[in-house]
Amino acid sequence: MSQQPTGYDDDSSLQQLPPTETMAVLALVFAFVFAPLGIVFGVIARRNIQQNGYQGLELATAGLWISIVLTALAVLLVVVVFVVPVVSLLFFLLVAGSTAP
Amino acid sequence: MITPPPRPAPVALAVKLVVAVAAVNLLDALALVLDVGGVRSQAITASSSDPQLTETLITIAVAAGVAGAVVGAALWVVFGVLAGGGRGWARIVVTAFAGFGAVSSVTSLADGSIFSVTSALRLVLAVAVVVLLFRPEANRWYAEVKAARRPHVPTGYPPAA
Repeated sequence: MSQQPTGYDDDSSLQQLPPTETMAVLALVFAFVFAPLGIVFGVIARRNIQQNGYQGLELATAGLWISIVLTALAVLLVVVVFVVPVVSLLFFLLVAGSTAP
Repeated sequence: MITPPPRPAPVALAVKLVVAVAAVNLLDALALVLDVGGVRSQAITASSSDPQLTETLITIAVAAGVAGAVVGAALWVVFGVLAGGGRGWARIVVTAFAGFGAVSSVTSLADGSIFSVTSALRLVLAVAVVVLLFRPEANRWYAEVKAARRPHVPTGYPPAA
């Protein structure tokens, strides 16, 4: 009986691929869970990959950039939602107080 | 070093659609600026607090909305162009943006205003961008560009067949 090709016959190339850097996966995951930590994981992952040649440079870079963008937006949101209204309110109260009869 | 292969049609179209998404974002900002009078009068009528304070807060909210739309448009274009240049990581970032854009579009679809029209348009464009960027031709091209950019990496592992 002849052996049918399974499509998995030549799996030697799969075994020779370097593993994926865990920090790179963590960088992408934490970009959506807690972005500042995604920046940390992204930087560590990129440094590790340059040293050990593991896979996952794209994941790490994407996680790093998404984390940077989301962290910047969160900081901006905090400024707009909390800081600017409080400063405006203080300014308003000061102006209203100084012009009151 | 190997010359990177030419950009396939789906990726080229995806870059054009990314620019279209950015244009829709700018349209949103423009609509917000043009409609600011209506928003302000509605808020002042609805609010029981001081009209001057309400007006100040509305101005801040509109400025934040316009700034957000412009920054969003710029981010789409920057990462879209990088993805169009063969950066695989930028493709993942654009996909994440498309996800965020889709969620925000779906939440504002039932608005009934001009923003629901632009939201629907943005949703369709974002889905199209992701589909085009992950077409088999695009996958192949990204792999080829990656191979061309990193001809030799001393990994300690034997080269893959």
